[in-house]
Amino acid sequence: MLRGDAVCTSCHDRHDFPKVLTIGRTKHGTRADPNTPTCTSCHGESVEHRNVPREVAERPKPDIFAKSPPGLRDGACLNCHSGGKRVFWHSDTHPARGISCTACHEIHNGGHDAVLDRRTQPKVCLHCHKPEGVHLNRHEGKVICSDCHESHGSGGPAMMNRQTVNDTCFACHAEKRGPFVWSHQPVTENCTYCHAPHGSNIAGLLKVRVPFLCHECHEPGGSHRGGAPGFGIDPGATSGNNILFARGCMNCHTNIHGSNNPTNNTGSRIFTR
Amino acid sequence: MRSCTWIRTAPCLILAAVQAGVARADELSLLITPQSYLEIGATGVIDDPKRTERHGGLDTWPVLPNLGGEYIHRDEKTGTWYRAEGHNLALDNRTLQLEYNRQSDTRLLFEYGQILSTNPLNVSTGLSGIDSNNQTVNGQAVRPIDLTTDRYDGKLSFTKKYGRQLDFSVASRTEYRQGRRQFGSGAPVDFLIDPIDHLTYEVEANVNYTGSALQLTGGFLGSFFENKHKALYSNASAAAVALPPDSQSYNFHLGGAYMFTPTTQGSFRAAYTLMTQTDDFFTGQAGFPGNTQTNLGGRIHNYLGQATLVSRPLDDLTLRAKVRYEGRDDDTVIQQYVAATTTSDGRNTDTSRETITADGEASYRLPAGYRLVGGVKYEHWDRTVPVLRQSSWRTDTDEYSGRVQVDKRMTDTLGGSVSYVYSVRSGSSFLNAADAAADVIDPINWSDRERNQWRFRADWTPTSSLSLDTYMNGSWDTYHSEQRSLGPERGRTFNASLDGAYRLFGDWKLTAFVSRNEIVQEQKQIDQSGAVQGLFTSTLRFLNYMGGVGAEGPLRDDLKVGMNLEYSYDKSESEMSGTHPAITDLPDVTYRQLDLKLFADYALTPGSSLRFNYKYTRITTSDFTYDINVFADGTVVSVVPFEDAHFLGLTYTARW
Repeated sequence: MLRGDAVCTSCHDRHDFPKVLTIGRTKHGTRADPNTPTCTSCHGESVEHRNVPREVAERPKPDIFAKSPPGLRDGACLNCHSGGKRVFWHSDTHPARGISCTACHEIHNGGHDAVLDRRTQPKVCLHCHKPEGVHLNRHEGKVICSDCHESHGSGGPAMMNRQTVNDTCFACHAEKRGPFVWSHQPVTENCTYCHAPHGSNIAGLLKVRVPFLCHECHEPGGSHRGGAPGFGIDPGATSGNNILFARGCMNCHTNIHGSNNPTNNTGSRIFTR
Repeated sequence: MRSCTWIRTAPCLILAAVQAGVARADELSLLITPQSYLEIGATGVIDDPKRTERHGGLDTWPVLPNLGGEYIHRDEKTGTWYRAEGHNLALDNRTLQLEYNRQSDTRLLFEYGQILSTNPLNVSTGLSGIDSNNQTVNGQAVRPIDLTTDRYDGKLSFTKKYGRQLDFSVASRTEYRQGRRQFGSGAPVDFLIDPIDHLTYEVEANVNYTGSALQLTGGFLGSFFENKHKALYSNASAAAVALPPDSQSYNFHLGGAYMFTPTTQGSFRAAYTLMTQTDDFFTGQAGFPGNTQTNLGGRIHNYLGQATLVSRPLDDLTLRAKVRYEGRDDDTVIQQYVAATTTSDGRNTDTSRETITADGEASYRLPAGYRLVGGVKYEHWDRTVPVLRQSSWRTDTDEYSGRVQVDKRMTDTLGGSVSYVYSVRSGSSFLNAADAAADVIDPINWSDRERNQWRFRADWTPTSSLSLDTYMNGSWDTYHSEQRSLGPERGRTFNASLDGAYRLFGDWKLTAFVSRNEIVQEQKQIDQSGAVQGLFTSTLRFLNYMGGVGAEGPLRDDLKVGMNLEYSYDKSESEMSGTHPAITDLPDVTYRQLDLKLFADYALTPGSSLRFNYKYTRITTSDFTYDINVFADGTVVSVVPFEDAHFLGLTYTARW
């Protein structure tokens, strides 16, 4: 199974439960790779576990096991898995909150590590990140946690896997990136001012229904910007129904993320035609 | 064995030992050999799954083949993996991965994914030319159309390791997106469609060095966006509507970590990103003085610097300090593009800004299983100010926050944590909007704000069969500015959930959960748009309840069954009141979803099984914003108020 494992597998054989031998199916079980570990590389020499002292009634646990302090467990992993995407591991939130590698990864589970499978990863993450799961119960599984977040640490905001929130969003929504002739100020700062990326029951993953969302920033002014949404108020004009139905303000302000219209058309400046 | 005479006993014993040895070897081989599987079956849907299958790739009958699986082979001599994995291969949301991996040496990976996204709205329109950028309102007879978007995503990556310390990777990703997005033009608005025909491609190269004390990572990420259509022409408006222009992003980054001592580590990150947009204008500019631009010539330089120090001066004490700088230098030439008005100088704006964040945290492990975490954070934004502003403006905002958390592991079976965060945001004086007569709002992203937030979670395993997990989170925001009378006033969120799992007997397991989530925001606004004017207050409340139960276990050694029932209820309220004489409180928007899933897994042989899946989904929506959704051109866009769908699937799985 693993190199030099005889001292362990003499007890932890095929009848063992959980079936620890299934580690042999995983990358750790590739014996031809000189970098793969032995049992004791991860669990320590565990002398007293192997040779129970006479005065001890119950067999001591291995030096490093499932309930060892997180730092100790992580050390066993980081001996080999340092660098690359884990450069910022120590700098970020998970180790600071006592979340160790094995809180998410299953090492002995027969080659199926749920957090590495797109179909099962959200369940692993949402075990702790409960509020983010409110709307993910009807997720289609097309965008999963690791598409946006680097759980091994990025040092950046919310452990995004690119340098900023917007950079991460632009990976799939590059058409919103610009620069544009006409920029919408909050769009250039942070997509999450308006959007709830973990889910919303409002189309476009908006945080608040339009026009109320737009009312969070826009002055009433002499135009319709503070227009009261409702029925029968100036029908057909730019308040009342027209800022409430369907896409609300964006029925007309279609290019809300920015517009590039250079003609002498003042509508383009306000993201309309 | 019983028929063996003593003469035959010895060979029989040897044979039995060999057979047992072979059986053990087979059993062992099964445990340690990577497993492959192949799934072949059929799946189908009864009734219209328009909302349920928005991204699912399934449509109403006929039955579609279900094909997927994973083939894995490990060459034990060389430590080389060959892997092919695919899911939903016969559907429109198929995924495929092909991998060659000589472990600790070379890895080549190809990934392909496809998503068909169908907007669940019903659309009836007379618009013609809908997949082109030249459309005619009422150009043909009214008929129903689908708003769909297809995404095709392919990625090829290559990684080479040079020993334990050095590795190098390159990757190329291409995504093509084609479809239709709801658009509009004119006043009152006519229905149009944004003809999506986008290509995004990225190239990435990284080099990583991992030494005993020093780790470095650096590389390049280029991102390029291309849009086939630059503008949308129609008879709805004389002026064409701009569509997203081509743009580019070039990112260079270097990061690293250094272990100063066994208990002290520092890390840093530095990056430079150039964003450009030089797509030729689709019509000439209007010739304002000094403006000879044929394209925007957009150039934005982004700078990032970040440093973190983590130290454990005592066995039980960990300290962390972090500082981060982000700079955005908008180098785009400022020109006049449209006629000036009283509220605009007709020029593009400078979007430059700087952000500084500093964060410190201490974590101390106390006796009796307690752990105490405390931290402070400061965030500063400094923005460039346009000459004429569409909304109130603030150059600087500063936010200070403090947090404290207590974890307690009471026993092996009971633990939990409580945390509290307090933050307060303020900033420089407000600068008036160009329309100063109404200069009274407090924009939400830079208004003065005070936030109190607490969280509680506990996990309890009272018996070896039962585990419970509960979570609560509450947050209260107060927005207050002495200068401002409109905008957000208060905000509140509350989430609570309880999850349980119970191992009944044998391998039978029961699960259940309930949760309640609430988000409330109160804001004030004045309608000055027409003859009817006045102040109104909106209390926007989102409420969600969810619950579910599940059970699964074996009926026989070769038959496993399970069920899962979930219910979710969403309600959005927009409670409005005030002095506005025509204010009508708006109806609630509700969304109810019931899902019932059943499965039966029958083992045909140790290496094969037959699985039956059934899913029933019932969705009820009440969304008044689509009840009156008739565009000026007569296009009707409406929501489907009720949907139920039955999904059936039968899959044969072979494992080896």
